Amino acid sequence: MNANDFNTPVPNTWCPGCTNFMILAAVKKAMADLVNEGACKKEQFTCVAGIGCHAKIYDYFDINGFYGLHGRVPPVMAGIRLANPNLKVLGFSGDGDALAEGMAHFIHFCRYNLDATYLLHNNQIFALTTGQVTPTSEPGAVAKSTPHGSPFRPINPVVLALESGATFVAREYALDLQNLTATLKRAMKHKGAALVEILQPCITFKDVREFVKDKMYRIEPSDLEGALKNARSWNYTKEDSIRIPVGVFYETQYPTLEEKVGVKVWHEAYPERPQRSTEELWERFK
Amino acid sequence: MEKVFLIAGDAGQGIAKSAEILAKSFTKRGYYVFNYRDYPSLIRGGLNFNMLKVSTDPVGSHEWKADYAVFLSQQAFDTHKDKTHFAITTSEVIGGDFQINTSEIVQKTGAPAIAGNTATLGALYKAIGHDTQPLMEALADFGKHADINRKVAWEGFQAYTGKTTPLPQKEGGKPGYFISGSCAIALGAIAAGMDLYFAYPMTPATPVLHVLAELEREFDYRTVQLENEIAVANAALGASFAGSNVMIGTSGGGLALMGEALSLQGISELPLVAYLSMRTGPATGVPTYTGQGDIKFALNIGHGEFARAVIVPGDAKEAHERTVEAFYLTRKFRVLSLLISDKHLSESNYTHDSLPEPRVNSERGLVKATDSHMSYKITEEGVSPMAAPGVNGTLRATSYEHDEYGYTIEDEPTILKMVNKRLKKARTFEQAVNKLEPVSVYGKGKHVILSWGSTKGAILDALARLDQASVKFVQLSYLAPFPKKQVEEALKGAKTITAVENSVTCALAGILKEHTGLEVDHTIVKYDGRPFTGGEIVNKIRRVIA
Repeated sequence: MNANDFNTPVPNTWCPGCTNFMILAAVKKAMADLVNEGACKKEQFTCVAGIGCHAKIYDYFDINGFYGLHGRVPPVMAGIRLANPNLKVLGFSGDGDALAEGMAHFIHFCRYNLDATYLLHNNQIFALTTGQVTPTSEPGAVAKSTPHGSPFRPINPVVLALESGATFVAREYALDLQNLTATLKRAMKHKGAALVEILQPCITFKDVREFVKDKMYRIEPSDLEGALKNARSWNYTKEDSIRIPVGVFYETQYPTLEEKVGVKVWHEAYPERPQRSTEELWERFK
Repeated sequence: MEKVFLIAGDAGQGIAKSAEILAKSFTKRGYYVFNYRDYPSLIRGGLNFNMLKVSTDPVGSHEWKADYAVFLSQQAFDTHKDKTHFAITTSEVIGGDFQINTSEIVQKTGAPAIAGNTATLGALYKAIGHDTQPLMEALADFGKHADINRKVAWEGFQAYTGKTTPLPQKEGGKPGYFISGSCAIALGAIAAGMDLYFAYPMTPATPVLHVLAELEREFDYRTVQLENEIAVANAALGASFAGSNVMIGTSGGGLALMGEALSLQGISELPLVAYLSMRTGPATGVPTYTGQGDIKFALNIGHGEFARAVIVPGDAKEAHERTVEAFYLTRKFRVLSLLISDKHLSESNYTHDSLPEPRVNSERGLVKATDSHMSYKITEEGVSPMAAPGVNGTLRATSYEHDEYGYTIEDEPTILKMVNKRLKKARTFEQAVNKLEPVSVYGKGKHVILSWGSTKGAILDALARLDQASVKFVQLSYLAPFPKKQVEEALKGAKTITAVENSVTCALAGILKEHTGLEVDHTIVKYDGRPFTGGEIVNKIRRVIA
C-alpha cells in the first residue's frame, strides 16, 4: 500500500501551493506505513475535521470521515472512540477551530487522555474567512478585523496541552515532510491523547515561510518540566531573535478515557440488544 | 376515596426519601399514589415538601390542601400549617396535633438522627388506623439500614397516642408500580437498547443521568458526563456515526447550547435521541420548578430545515413507551428524536397498575458496508441504509451539503437531489408517526380540552370529576410531525376548544392554528412554576363551559 491508495476523486480546492498539501501527503504516507507495518487496517482510520481550510482534508482522504462543526473536533473524536475503540481516530483542527471556538474541548481532550491523534494546523490566521487574527496570532498582528493591530496576546497550545495532561505533545513544520511524517507516525502509534501542532504558513494571508525557516531547531523529548521549558521558549511572537523548538516535547503513558470508562465495540458486541421485558425492568419499582 | 398527605421539612432532612417510603407503603396495599416534589434550588436549609395524593382509584396529580401532614422542621410547620387538617411534628417543632419525640426514639434505638423521620411515619400509620406491615415492607428500600428504620418506625407507632382519622382500607388492590418520569425514561432507553448516554448535569434532567449511571454495569451500556452540552451533543453524533445507539439529556439552557449540533444531526442524518426536561425559563429561570414554555424552541431548534420528532409523553408509563418510540424513529429514519418532559413529569412519582407496552421495538438496524458503500444513498423512501465504519468501505458523515458518498458539494443539481432525498424521508417518517397513536381521546363530550405533556395527569383527574358526557380530553403525544388528521378528527363537532398549557402564552393554541387553521376558544395557562392540580382544572373548565 502506498500514499496514493488514500486518494479520492474529489478536486482539491486549497490555494495552489498551500502548505496543507504537505500535511495531506505526510498523513497519507504515515497511514500507508502503518498499514504496511501491520499496525492497523485502512478501514480503521477515521478522520474528524473541524471547519476551516485545514478541514477540507476530509474530502481528500479515502478513509472514514466525520466533517463536523467549527471547534468541535475533540468531542466527536471522544464519541467515536467511546463507541468503537478499534477505530484509529485522527482529528484535524486549525488554530481558530481548536483554540478560539473549541478551546474548552481542546483542554478536555488532553485531560481525558483520549486515545486519538489531534493535528493542529497552525497558520496564526483565519484563512477560509479571508484573514482575521486567531488566538495564536502575534501581539499587534494586523489583519482584516484588526487593522490597527491585534489587542490580544497569543496563547501557546503546546504549553496548554502539556499542562492539560496530553501524553504525547509535538510540534512540526508543514514543509519538513520527513520529520512531519515520522512524528505523525509516532503520534498515531501512541496510546493516549497525542497533540501534533503543525506550523503551517498560509501562503495567501500570512506567508511567514521565509521568516520561520531559519529559526527552527530540533529538540528531544524531556520530562514535563523540561518540555514546558522548551515549549515556553517561543510564545508565537515575531521578533527576529526568536528560536522555534520543533520535534517531540513530551511522551508518557497514562490510562486512556476509553480504558477507564470500559468501552467496547457496542454494535459488534450487540448486533441487536437482547429484548428486555418491561416486567424485568419495572420490577424494581414495585 | 382520596386523601392528601403532606411531608415537609428543611432541605437535607430526607423529605423526598420519607415521602417515597410512605408512598410505596401505600402502593403495596394497592392504593394509587401521586407524589409531587417541591424543592428550591439549594442543598441545605431551604424548605422542601412533598404532596402525596393517595387514592383508591387511579390518580395523576396532587392537590394543595392536605388531610394529613408531617412537619420535620419549625420552618415547615410555620409555612404550611394552614394547608392541612392534621399535623404530626417532631420534638424539634413547637405546634401540631401530636408531637413525636423523635430524638428520644433515635437515642433509644441507637439509630442515626436522620432516622427520626421514620418515627413520624410510624406515628402516621397509627393516626390513619392501619397496621404497620406495608410500611415495614417499604422500609426495605433502606437496604442495610432497613432493620434499624423498622425499629424506629415501630417506636413511632407505639408512641403515638393522638386521635385516629381512619384512611379507608383499599379492598383487593394489587401492588402497583411507583415510578418517576425520569426512571421510566431511563428504563425506556435501556429497553430500546441504548449503548451510550452522554449528559452534563442540569436540573431537572439530571435524575435520568443518575439512574442510568447507576444501572450501567447491570445492563452493560455506559453513561459519560462530558465537559459541556456542546461536547455532549457532538460526542453523541460521533458515537452514532461509529454505530452506537445514543441518547443525550439536558434542560432548556443546555438544549440551547446543543442547537448547532442538532442542526448537524439534520444534515448528517445520524440517529440521536435528545431528552429535554423543561423548567421555568427564560435563561436560568427557576431551576427546580416546572413549565412547558420551551416547546416552540424545541420545535424549531437548529438552523436550516430538517425533520424531527417532538415527542411529548404525559405520564411515567407513557414516558417509557414513547422513549422506545424515540429510539425506533431515530434508528429507522435517521431523524432527530426530541423527547420532551418537564420538571413535573420527570420528578413526580406515578402509580401505574400495568406495565408499559411499547408499540414498536427499536432496532439498531445497521447494514454491512460494502467497498462501494454510499453513506447517503438515494432510495425510494429517502432513508439511506446506515452502516458502521471499521470493517468495509469508507463511511462518511458531514455538516456540509454532500453527494451520496458524503463528499462536499456546492452545485445546484446535487443540492436539490439531496434536499429532496431528506424531504422524501420526512414524509415517510411522518406516516410512521401516524401509526404510533400520536393523539389520545378521553371522554365523549363536545367541550374539548386540548393539551400535551405533563398536564395529562391533572386533566384526567379533573375529567373524572367533570361530566364526561359534556367534556372530552384530546391529548397530543407528538407535536412534530404534527398529527393533523387525527387532531382534526378528534376536534370535529367540538362546541368549544380549550387549550391547557403550563406556560404564559399557550404555544399550543398557535401550533394548532398553524397546522389546522383551527382557533381555540379558551386557554388555561399557569406560569408560576407550579404544575396544575386536578382541582384547578375542574374550576377553570367549569367557568369556561358554564
